[in-house]
Amino acid sequence: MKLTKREPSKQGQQAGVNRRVFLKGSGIAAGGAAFLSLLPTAMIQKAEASEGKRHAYDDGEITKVRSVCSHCSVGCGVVAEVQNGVWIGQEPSFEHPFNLGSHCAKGASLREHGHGDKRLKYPMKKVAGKWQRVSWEQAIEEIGDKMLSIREQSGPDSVYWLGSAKHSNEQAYLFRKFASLWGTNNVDHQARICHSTTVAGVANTWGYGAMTNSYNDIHNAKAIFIIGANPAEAHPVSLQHIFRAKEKGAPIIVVDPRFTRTAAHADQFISIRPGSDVAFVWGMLWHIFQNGWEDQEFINQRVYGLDEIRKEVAKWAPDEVERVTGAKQADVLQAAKTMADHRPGTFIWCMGGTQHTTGNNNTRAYCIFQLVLGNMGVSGGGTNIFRGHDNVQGATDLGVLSHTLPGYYGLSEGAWKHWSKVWDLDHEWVKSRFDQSSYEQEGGKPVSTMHTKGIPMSRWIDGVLEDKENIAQKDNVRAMVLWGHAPNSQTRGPEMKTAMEKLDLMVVVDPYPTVSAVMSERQDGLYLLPASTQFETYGSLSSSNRSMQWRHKIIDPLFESKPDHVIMHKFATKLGFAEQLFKHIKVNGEEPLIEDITREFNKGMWSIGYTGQTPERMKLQSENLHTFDKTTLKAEGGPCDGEYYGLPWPCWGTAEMKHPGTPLLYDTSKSVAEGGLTFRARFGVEHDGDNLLAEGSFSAGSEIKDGYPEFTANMLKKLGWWDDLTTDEKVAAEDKNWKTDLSGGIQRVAIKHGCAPFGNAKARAVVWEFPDPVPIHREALYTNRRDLVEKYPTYEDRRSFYRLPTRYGSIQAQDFSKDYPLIMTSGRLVEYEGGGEETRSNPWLAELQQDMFVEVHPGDANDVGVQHGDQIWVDGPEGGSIKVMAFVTRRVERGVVFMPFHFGGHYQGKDLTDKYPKGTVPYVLGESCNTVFTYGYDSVTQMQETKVSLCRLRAV
Amino acid sequence: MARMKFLCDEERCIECNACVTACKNEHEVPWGVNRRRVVTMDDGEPGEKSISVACMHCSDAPCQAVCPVDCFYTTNDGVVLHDKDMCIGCGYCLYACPFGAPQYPQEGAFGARGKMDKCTFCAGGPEEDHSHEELEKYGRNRLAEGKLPLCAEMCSTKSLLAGDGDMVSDLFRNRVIRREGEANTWGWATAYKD
Amino acid sequence: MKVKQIRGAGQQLTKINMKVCLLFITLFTLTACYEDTDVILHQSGVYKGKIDRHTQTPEQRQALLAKRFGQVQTDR
Repeated sequence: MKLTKREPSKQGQQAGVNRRVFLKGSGIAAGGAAFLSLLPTAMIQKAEASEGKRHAYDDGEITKVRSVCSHCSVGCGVVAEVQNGVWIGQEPSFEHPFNLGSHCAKGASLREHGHGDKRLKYPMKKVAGKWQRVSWEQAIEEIGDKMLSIREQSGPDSVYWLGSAKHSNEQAYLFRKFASLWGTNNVDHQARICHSTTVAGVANTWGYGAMTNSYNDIHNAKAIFIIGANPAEAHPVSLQHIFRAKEKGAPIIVVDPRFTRTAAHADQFISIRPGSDVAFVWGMLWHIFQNGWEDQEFINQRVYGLDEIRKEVAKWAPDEVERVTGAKQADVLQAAKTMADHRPGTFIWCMGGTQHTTGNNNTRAYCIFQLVLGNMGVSGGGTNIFRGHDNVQGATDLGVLSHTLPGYYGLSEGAWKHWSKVWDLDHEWVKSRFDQSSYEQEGGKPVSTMHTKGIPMSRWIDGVLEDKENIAQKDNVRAMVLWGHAPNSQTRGPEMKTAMEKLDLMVVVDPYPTVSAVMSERQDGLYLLPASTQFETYGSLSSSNRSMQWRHKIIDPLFESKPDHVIMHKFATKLGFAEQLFKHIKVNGEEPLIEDITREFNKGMWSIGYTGQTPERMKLQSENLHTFDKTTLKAEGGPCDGEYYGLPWPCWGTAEMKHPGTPLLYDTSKSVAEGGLTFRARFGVEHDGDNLLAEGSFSAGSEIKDGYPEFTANMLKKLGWWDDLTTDEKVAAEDKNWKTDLSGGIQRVAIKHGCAPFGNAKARAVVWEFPDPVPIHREALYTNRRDLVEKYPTYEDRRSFYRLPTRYGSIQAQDFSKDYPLIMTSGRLVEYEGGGEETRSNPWLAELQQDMFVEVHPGDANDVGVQHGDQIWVDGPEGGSIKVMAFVTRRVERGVVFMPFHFGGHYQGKDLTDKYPKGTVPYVLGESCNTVFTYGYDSVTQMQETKVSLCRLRAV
Repeated sequence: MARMKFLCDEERCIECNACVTACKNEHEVPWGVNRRRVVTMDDGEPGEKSISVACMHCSDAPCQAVCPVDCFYTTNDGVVLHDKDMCIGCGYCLYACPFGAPQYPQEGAFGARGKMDKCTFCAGGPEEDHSHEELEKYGRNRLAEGKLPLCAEMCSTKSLLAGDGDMVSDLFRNRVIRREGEANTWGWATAYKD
Repeated sequence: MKVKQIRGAGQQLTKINMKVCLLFITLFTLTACYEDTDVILHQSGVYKGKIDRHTQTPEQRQALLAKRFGQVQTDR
């Protein structure tokens, strides 16, 4: 008797069944061939490629492997069934505390990664316009030689290392270390164009720039406020948590320029004009202050600078809010009242808030709103910032960024010394790897390139195209390494194409060829190196709620692909610093040991508590998913008793301290040892004579019953706690602080006394170092409201910002709104992710979205004479034009058009199918909306402005 | 005896299409054949609602009634299946089906129909459980493994429910009471008599 | 131009032809007015395909599926 199919049976040793036979049996096959002849070539290739054997029940022993979905940041658990090395089945991971087995379209089709028909199968290079297969050795040799010669001529900064949110934590950390040892800060990844403004805005408000609560904690929300986010498509499984709250009575308010699929489930939907978020939030606060709905006690104890906010908010009377945002006065009042009446409420935002020239203002305004209502540090409240990619949180934390080393230590000398010590490398040697000249000044003194922010990835094209004299480094960017990156997710397509063509060397490292392989007219000097997906290797990742999860390897690398860390080893060997890079990391053959990399960053990431999550602890949790509570995420009983799922950072101290992780940031109701926290004392103890430390508020069990600064060795001595350190800890802690003491002693002792190692301060509503200390409304660079430009102008142009001249006012000064009358915005579709190369190559997903489209209001469609389904030109104000399908719908307001950003492979009306290497053309191609999206960068982080620009529609 | 039913909670369906790709994944359903699909009404307008639709495995299945070769049968747990060896692809069942479930993979360049294919409630077909023949013709047999249809098991919001009708009803009733809403069991009046 | 040609064609029809046409049209129309009052009920035929034998007894199957339902389909 067979109760489960997955038991191998003795008699059933028949050969596997191939797909054609399945087709035949189901009556499809006879016609299959004829049917295919009617299809475009792409689909015929698909059928041929998928002729691999279909493994049946009895073809061998089946093992179950746990992994985590590699699409969005929810971190859904996956169970793979593997037989004879082949991924034959995908089962729901119903014990998983995040998803209870659920998936969206992307997660439910993950097994296609085991087929990988459209993958890049071996290293390739372009020779005189033709793709040529090469060996790994040849590719690394040629690329390395070219890089070394560029380094010789132009310095290390002329090679740009663009990393990925698709790296595991270990690969991300290694990538940043790799770039550092190459000698450049020209390293970055997609967080720049995703949530960089969130990280900057939020971290500068209260300490850490991450989601404060968790998806699961939304169960406890009494109201849910969603602005600039469409989780029903971008984070579908999060809706499971949102609906849990909704069904308990929590109203959902959605504020968006578009009636999204999320809005369809909201209790109140408010449409605003793209780019008017600050005005809208101040409009709500106006009512809150007017009616005295603010939480004054919370503000007195834990918020600094609110009086200045009150002054700004006073300018936003209901009529002005309506004039700027387009939202009806009564709607704004209703939303404010709902949030005031239902506390704690949670506040959710995504790219709709971040991708603006004023992105950092938006994110700070959101934080201030929550502070005013006292919704921070409580279960059910918080700023639940949904990150984008599966490991964008981890890659950000581990510093794949041009402005910081891992752990947000920055680029100061102290930061470099800290990490040099962790790496056990001579600081002077690390320094010698960099360009020794300086191109920028700070306080009148020259600063070396080691200490200056690198070019952000949003601007790499300017690093190539800008006049050399205007860039604060030795030479232009001459070589680009696009490692797990979709160029079609970046704006200014035509200029990017030019930049690609100007480069001396272009290297793509990715499981797919990506749009980088086909976009330019490059004839030579373009290499494609096949990387493995995260299902072909193992390691940890950090989901949006700061939980770290362990992925186990499902299958061996497909074709000739290699995992990222193996490729890094190859490059480091060729480039001559493998010995230093892997000094304390064991290398098996050419694969660096993942666990050793985890342990190395555990040793240095004190600043955000990435120190307690050892491989052993993470693996143990992955085996005991069922023991974690599905709302609190706390394990009850079992081997992980008391721990929170994923040991959400900060997981303080060493692993021996057994800190359970911090499920909710800044929650004072728990002791720090049990996951409680205060606001971080990051900005000093006073400003302009005002106290910045918390007053009368402290976490449970704190021996200091008031605010206190961050812990240092001296502070321990003053408090009389120094002798709580062991002898060894004392040696390590001398002259150090909680971030730089490698023994973890300072953290341990602070927590022992109930204190947060990073201090106990107020959150600040005013960020005095930023261009706009108080968040204010500014019109977008490409605004349609010329009448508002004078009152709400953008910034002035800047000469050097992240090494580059950056334009603001000079663009806004020109009126494009007459020729380009429609507001253009962009966003996600549930079936695709990022630039879409991976998901458009998955037939189960691609079948569901076969056309790139633009959503147009019926009125605007009639004005240009197009009907639903027609092809139409969208012209951007910087000269790009794309030909897409008109999707006529009232989802968008009149005057606004929306486009998804996942498409690529068509360029300004031209199909680029022929330029892909054979057998790698995704099932679906289409125009990239970023071919028409325009210039515009956030004033703090260089985030690109993809949520508001202008365009014009033109019938074909 | 258990009576298998599907229920799609329209208050929770967000048209994420997980059910569609889960089905494709589990049974390797080829491009162009959709055993399950999500239908959205009033797309983009207030009142927008989505429903995931497949064969509902009706009590008195109309497909079964109209089939000229009598290739349909109902299992003792209420799943409506058919024998593909007998099916002549005539298409009557499609005209009879209130849910548009039957699929006819194209056969021949002039569109003559192939054998009908539809949702099996992940219960395979009239071949030996777990046999290669069953896999080839009907896809995986999860019910025989003690598992429920993958579309429902993977639904992002637990909107799509599948299982014994009584258990589905109990779960759904609790949900409706909690949210103090209407019990809108889409398709049930048409599909189920018991 | 086209309209004129059609008229020309019409003139070629004889009156008899017109009558025959009318007769046929009338007959066709009347045919559609007939309704058979005996409703034919289509009875479900007896399944003629292969018998689907399950490896488990119905009870085993029911117990397993009920357990599974509790694992994967609850709201927890």
